[in-house]
Amino acid sequence: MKIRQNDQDEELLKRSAKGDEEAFTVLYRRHADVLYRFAFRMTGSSWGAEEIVQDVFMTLVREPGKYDTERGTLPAFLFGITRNKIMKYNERLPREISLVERQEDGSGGGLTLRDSFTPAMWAEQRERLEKVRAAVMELPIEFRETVVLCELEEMTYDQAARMLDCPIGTIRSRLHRGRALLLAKLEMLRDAPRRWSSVAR
Amino acid sequence: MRNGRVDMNCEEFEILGLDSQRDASISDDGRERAVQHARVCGRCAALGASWAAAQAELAALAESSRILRVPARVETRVLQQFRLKHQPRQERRFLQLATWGLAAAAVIVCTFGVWDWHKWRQGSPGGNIAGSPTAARNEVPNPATGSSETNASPVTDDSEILMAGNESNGGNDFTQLPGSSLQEVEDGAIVRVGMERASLAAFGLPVNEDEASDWIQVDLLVGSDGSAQAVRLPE
Repeated sequence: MKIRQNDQDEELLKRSAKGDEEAFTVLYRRHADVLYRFAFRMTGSSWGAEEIVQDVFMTLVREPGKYDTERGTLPAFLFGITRNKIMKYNERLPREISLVERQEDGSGGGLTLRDSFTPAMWAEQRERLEKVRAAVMELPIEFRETVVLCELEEMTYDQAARMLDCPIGTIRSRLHRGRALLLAKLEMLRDAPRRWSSVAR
Repeated sequence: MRNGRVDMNCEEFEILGLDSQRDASISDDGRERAVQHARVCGRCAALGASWAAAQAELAALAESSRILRVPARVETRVLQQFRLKHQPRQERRFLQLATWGLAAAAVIVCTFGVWDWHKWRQGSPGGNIAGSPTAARNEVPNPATGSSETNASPVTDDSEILMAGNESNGGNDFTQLPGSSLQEVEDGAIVRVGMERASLAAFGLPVNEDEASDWIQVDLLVGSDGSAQAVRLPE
């Protein structure tokens, strides 16, 4: 049977559970990048993110029956597994956070140099981005994942609530606290006075 | 309260107002109230501006990692696992059978190898030999015929050691040499040697003088102390 790009995830999963490699490949390509970015932003490590995404899809290969259509969408299911893997990954790691994410070839990650940038501007912006990345990485994990989903993945509150399988009020509350912490950190970086009243709460 | 609407306070603004444009659960009225609050409250307006700046930085961070893609090797590994799981059942069964077959063949070969090795060790000259006296084989050049006989381990240059049990004449027609005792040769060996017939006289045996210079072969029964105890002329 021919695969169409707009086939529903559930249909593709059923077919891949029966051994349809093409269906599985479509499913993989549809979701792997989002999960990878999420894992990368949560762990700060490309190697870690790679390992996590691989584990997530290995789980899907081995136990496709674990996904229950009545309990939510497939992306939410995959996000759930990814979150668990991220938690385990973070527990395994020492507490230090690398400020500079290295690529496989050893070069630094982050910004791509554009023609309009002078090297000084590029260096300054890159340094700034690394600090923002470090500030995000220092957030407690439940706030971090909400910030990553809503601010970096640009999901709506509703989408984030479905991904994290929690009420929208929880998303709003976590985002509020996460945002407060993040703002405080970023303002400290800017050497600006803290104006956030609820940080201490 | 303005126009029958309750104004938003600072705490509500922090929770709802900062991101009211993206929160679908907030009504248009709620958004309008947030905007109104920011206009009249300098602290919340500053907070809003600060958050807008932070959002711009987060957007830049998001942009920098938006191009991230899973490395192709992950897809390869995952698909490999997929194929492994969904291999046709018959193919998997064949592979399992082939694996078990190979393992069984290896076990059989090893068993026969060990058994054969044991057999070889028991039959080898250096191994334990049933029967007494024990002996080893040695090649003897025969000066009379110019031929040589087979051997297994060298003992002397011109002698042949034979196992007593393998002797054709049963080893029971030896002539005891003077001054020897056959009771002392339980661990002895039978050694075939080539010698001049005249040498038999040294053992106290009668020698025909006409043939005294002939080379003959004799079997000597050598005791554990290395001295000859008995002698016979093989047929």
